[in-house]
Amino acid sequence: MELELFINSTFEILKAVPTTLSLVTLSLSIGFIMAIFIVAMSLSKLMLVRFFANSYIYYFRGTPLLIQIYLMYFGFGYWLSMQENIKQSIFWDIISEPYWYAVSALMFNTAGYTAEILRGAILSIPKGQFESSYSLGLSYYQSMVKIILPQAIRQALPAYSNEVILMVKGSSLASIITIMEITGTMNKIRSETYAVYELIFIAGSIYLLINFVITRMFNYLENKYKIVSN
Amino acid sequence: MELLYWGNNGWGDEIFFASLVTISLAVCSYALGLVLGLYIAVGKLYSNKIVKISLDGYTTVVRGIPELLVIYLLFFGGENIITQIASVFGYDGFINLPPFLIGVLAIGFISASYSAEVFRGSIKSVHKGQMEAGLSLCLSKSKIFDEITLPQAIRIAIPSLGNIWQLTLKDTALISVTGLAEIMRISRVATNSEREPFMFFIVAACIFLFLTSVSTKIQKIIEKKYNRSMVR
Repeated sequence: MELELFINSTFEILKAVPTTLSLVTLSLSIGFIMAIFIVAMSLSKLMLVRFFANSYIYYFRGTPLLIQIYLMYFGFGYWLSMQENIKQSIFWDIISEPYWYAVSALMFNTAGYTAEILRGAILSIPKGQFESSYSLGLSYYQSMVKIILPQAIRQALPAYSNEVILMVKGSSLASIITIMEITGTMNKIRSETYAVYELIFIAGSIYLLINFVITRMFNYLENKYKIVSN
Repeated sequence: MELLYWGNNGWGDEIFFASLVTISLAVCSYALGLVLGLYIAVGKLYSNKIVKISLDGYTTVVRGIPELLVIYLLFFGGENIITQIASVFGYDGFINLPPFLIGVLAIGFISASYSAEVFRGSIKSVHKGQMEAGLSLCLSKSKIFDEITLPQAIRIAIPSLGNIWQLTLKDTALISVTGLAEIMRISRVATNSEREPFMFFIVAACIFLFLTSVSTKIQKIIEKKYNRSMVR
């Protein structure tokens, strides 16, 4: 591969970085909020609610992300495209955009994993914390939000940083449903130029850089919220 | 429902054989990953600095880039490399690799980088006194590793190795991009040709759920077996 082509494709792949980042941040932020609800449901006293939350987590952790994306895009999206009245409606422009299917598949997936991480963290908080906050007259909701969750989130940080990295890696699967993020752009240039190693080198370095920055950020957070004992 | 029948009219047999392909792919690449991972871990712990740095680089890179890139690298670039290596030895033809082998190599390399970290951690966590006791019995270093350190390390590693098995099993779905007829590929083809959006994907998801829950059960049994000598 000539140097000029190398530089050109580097720039072209770099242009796709915002797409990857927006996929990841959007799905992570909505997924986190969903996860909180799922955890609340899985700790509920009602069996049916608990069952729903647990099977949600079971399904999304037990199947490959690719299947979830396929089910979303080739399954649900295909089904939507067969409904005439949806096809005629004004929402069709938004609905036919594969980006939203990728975001929602990634979002549901990360919600399942994050819920499991948060549940583990909440259960790891000693029961005495609950009891002492009750004895101070806090309600269940208050003790959860003010006492338990802050400790649980600190506990969950290392596992959550892994999940964020998994999401960055998982966002490459969006290229399969024709989204031009880093992997998709790389694949497009590859099919035009038949260069393989250089392009994978470029894309791989970008992913490594993103993951490096994320690891650093979480290290900073972990240090900031570390328990200082003496 | 007729679509799932066995034979020419249904996809039942195709899906069944595709599941077998998925399972054998997962088993082969997991085995490759375990063997490679153990060697990498040993290299990381006991080798000289250059080997150590390059192995660290390997595990960092493979764990930091998407699995899809590793698969693309081997699928589009693997045959080239093999052919070039062969031409050094005087063979001048293009070597074609079967997609199954490419899949095993790709998933195996990924799995190896994760297993290596697990093995490294668990070998390190075996108490140093064990090695000193072995030395005082005049055992050679390799004998100490084989018969004292490794058996204890494996017991510690088993829960994490089970997680890596689940990860490997789920990663095999990505091999469908190379056209290998495993579950994802078949369900995609079936969906396209039958114009049935949900059924085949749901069947595929159920197969994966079945596989993961069976392996969780087996994992519990193995953990119990390896921990039977430990008093808690």
